[in-house]
Amino acid sequence: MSHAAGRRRPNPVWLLVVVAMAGLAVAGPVIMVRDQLADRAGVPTVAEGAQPAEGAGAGAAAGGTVRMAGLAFAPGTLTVAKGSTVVFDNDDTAPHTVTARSGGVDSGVLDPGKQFSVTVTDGFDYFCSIHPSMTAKIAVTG
Amino acid sequence: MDIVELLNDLTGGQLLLWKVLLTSVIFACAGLQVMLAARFYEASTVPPISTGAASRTHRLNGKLTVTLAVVVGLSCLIGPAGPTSPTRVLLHSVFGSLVFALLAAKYTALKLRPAWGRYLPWIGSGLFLTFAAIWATTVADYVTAR
Repeated sequence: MSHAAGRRRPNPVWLLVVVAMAGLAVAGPVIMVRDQLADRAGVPTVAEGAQPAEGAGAGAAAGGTVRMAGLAFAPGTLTVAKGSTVVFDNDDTAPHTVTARSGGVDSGVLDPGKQFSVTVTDGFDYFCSIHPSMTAKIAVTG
Repeated sequence: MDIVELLNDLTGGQLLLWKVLLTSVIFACAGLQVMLAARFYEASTVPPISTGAASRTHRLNGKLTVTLAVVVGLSCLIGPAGPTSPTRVLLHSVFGSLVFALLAAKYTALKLRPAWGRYLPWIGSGLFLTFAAIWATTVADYVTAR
């Protein structure tokens, strides 16, 4: 029996499984590189159709804006007057949420470029439920 | 509606919690895989079952583990994947990719290149350690952040 004849033909199903696993292994680095290149190219992060929240313009002076970027909320603590509007702006490349630890405030998933606003009467601690290491606080005066 | 939003709705707004739970189950299954492999290689007497039973359970548990890993991995790739900071996120992405590279190597050794079978214990150990690293860079962070 020749060497070639003795070699079994690979099962195409398992070949497909191996290719799928390799594809999943490569997908992560590809996505990371794509995001890095997009960041360096200065691709705008505001998604088409994103609507500024009420109070995001001149009115925001009475409230404030929290920016989400680099998997962090900035500022870490925002102090605003009671009854003012806070705008949360996802300037990141990843989706985030604004979720109050005590409940009551939950933005749902905010894709990159999307905004969420809330009128605050009490301070609250919040975090991103997708990236729970992202934490911050809204403090209220008056 | 995008896919992440759909998954979030399907899990009642608890997508991350589900991923955390599944990642913990996967990690536990990976630990069991190592124990079962040690049993059917006759390197251990734990668990106290026959080597044949250990082998069959290893295969069944392996299929379950890989299926869950693919589900969780895909939900990461179509959702939050991309950022390279902070370091925890970068490491999580690296280990998440490595686990699928190791699975590709494992299936190659098992099904396509039987001569590579001698590397299976190393690949299996690597898989367990990588699953441990994935667990540590997500679930541990999730729990401490709460």
